[in-house]
Amino acid sequence: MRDFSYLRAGNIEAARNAAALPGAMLLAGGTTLIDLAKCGVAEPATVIDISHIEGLNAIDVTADRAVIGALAKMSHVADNTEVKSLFPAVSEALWQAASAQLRNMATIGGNLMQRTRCPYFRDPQNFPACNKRAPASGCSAIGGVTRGHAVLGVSEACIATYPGDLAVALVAFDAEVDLGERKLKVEDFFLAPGATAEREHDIRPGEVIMTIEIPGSAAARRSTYVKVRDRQSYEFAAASAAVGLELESDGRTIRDIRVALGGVATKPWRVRAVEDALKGKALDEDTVRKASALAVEGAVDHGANHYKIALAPRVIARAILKLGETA
Amino acid sequence: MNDQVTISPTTLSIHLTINGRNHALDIEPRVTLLDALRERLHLTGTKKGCDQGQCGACTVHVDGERVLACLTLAAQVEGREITTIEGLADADGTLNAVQAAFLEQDAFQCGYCTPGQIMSAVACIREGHAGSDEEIREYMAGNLCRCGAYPNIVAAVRQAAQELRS
Amino acid sequence: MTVHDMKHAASDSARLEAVGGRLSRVDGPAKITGVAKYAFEQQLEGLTHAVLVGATIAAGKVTAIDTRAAETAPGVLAVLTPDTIMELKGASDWFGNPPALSTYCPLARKVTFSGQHVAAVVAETFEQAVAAAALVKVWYDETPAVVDLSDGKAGDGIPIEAMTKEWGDAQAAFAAAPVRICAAYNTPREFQAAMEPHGLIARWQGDELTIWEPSQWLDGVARTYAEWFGVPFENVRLVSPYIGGGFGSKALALAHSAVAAAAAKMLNRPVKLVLNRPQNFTSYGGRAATRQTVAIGADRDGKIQSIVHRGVNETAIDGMWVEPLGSVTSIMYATPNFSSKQNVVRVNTVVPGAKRAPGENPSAFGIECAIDELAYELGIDPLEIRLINYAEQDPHAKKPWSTRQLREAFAAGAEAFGWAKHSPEPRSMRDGHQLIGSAPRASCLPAAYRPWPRFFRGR
Repeated sequence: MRDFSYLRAGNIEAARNAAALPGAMLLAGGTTLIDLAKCGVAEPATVIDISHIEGLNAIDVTADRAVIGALAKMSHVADNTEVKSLFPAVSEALWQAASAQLRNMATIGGNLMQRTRCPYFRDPQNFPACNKRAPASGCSAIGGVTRGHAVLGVSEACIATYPGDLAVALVAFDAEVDLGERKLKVEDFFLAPGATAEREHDIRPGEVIMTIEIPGSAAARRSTYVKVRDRQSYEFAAASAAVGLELESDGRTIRDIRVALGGVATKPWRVRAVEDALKGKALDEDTVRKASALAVEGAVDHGANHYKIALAPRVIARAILKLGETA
Repeated sequence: MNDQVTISPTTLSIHLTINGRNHALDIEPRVTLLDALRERLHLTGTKKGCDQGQCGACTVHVDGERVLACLTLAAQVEGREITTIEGLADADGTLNAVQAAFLEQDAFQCGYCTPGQIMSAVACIREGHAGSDEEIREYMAGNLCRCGAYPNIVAAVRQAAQELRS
Repeated sequence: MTVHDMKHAASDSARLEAVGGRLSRVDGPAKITGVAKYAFEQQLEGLTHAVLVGATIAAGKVTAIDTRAAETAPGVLAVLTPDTIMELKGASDWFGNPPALSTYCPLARKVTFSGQHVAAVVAETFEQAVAAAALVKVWYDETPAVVDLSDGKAGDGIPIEAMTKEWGDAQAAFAAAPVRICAAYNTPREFQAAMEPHGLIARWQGDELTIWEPSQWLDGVARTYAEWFGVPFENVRLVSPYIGGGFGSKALALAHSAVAAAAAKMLNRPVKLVLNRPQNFTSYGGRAATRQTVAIGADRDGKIQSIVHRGVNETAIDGMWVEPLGSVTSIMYATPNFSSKQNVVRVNTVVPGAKRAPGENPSAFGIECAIDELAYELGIDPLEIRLINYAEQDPHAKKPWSTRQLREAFAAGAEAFGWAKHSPEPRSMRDGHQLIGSAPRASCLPAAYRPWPRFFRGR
């Protein structure tokens, strides 16, 4: 790890000022930054420790909306009683992520800033070419071992998968991220690689994530997060789906449905085509499976990740059908 | 903490509270809590298995919650209460219920993952995540054991959880 | 908190059921309290830290190494390259065979696998050594690498005559058999991946060397150090208080061990060198990847007439490892005709090594899967076909077993797992969303008798 200076910010203004310094990076839980510094991917000149700032870890949940402070720990949000009852998909996405230790460290704001687990991205010594790390250097993953790589939202510059779980649930329920001076949809906060793979987030120097807001809804209350992976726990998604469902009073016609995919795309991936195909339809297995297939229209595989194109619709269907069974 | 930004020199002078004792350290900012414990303070009960947040051998408690010392900067936990495996038993040597259960259930072989397993298990029980074998397996998933003592580890956590409840 | 008196809990049960009982480990109390100090956790005055630089190509030559930036980095004491590390003597191998070369350099000029050590940095602190190692710049002349067994450049490999085992006329009997199956089985490289990484502390006092290193073979490892440095065996003290998992990998002194001991000698200070987790996959070998075909010819009633087995395992460009793929194949089932042959293929990898049941593991996997294929082909129950072909004696030596209770084990397994209720039909069994399957599986660890007195001299 390269040497760096350490600044402990006492308040948010100090953090913002310091974050604008060249080579400065914010440290909250450290589970991404310290890890990537050890890999030689992150080389901060200055680390600004914001973990001691008080008042940024509140979890405020009502039926209308959840407001979660950027420094709230993943574990605390996952175990929050109101989050569990009003936003179950959010709680499930959190407790199925990482390990108990990492969830005690990692913050909600830091979770949004989590970087890809693409093994080529994480190994600059052996793979100098990575458009995400070094613009225009090329992509080592294309033509490489691609089992974990994305099939949706890919470009010729980058096929790295967005690895997180929480943000998948957030985009399904139209959550917003508050950066202090501006607010934007979480869906827009994440950027697909396009020709600028190095830009993963719409965040500017000096900006600090303050809170995340999730609007309450009937679909959020009846929601789930289904995660399929190579091992049962402590593993990133091979494919995952955050789904919320609201039925008409007849108990079978779909009034509102939210669907987002994880583990298969370059960013948290809302699939409105599936939602549109199901709204107003009766909830039955055949309809659900047909609609779920729309999620991977236009998907592009790179060999070993081909299975994700078959898997993703099945994960969506499983999540929807599971919600349908819960009256 | 005051409201000022503290700009560090190359070496920081920090104080860490570990197992109730105060330790003064002069270290570089990049020194992790794990290396501070093992290399500077000679508290080698906390193990380095992967050094990249994937094995759980370095699990310690910070303010009572289990975290990974390998992804924590030592400077970051100044002012927090740190507990390591060396601080788990009572001062008179009476073992924590989890330590005793690990012995009784033979929940280890080589012992290298064991301090991390025990620190994780103590927190797992305290969090209320040891209600069933399934829950224990899920919430202990961050601690790898290469000898394959998992069934005995689950049994030890189950036993300790029952003892602590009764 | 409930106070739990470990002494009573552990020793009461020990007294009650000493044999077959739950005895707590002798080293248990030290391990559960964090008091147990593993090998490279010793505290030494003046300890320095070494970090290795690994090759970023799999095949080729190191043409130049620029150490200037590393040498001037804070805290750095030495940067070692093939040109600057002290020359060591060649050491005898695992079996005691004398070395092929009289000198040994643990840092590579010629690269034969990715991650091979090409340089090392020694510094006052671990952090300084890690940072400086990243500043070492290495240039290579890269040549094409053989990636793995399936690489087109890998070829058929080298026949290992000693592994050939044949009786009867297996090819002819297979061709004549009314029922024939032939299937290919591959196993990947498997790694020991002990929780405790490989590493050591080396300290010289005059020409006496103390090594704190987890070791599964104290004498053999100490002998290697003595030979490398040309000191009497008695001058090497190897201290291995605990082993944090070895699984076969911690039985040899390896290249990184030589680097640490040489650095300690050159600096006249104790040196600690611990492989980081990625280096634990490239600094010593796991179980070799294997490929085998098993052809079985049988009668319609399931009686095996012939087994033809062909195996291949990977080895290194500059090291030989034979994973004995036929070790279980030849003694599991009665057959009048048998043929097993094995080749090894050189690929650009660190030389494979011993890992938990070397040979038996992939060998059993092949023959046991093939037997299931035969059972399915014939429509015979997988347990039944194993009993039909039960080996009443060693099928090769035609000698009675000293002990064999496989029949009893099958009966117990059938009762415990309920094999009779299970279907061998593919995709016919589910557990929730998961497709599952089950079948009886057996293996054995051939305990070939060898006279041992050469190794165990009485006092």
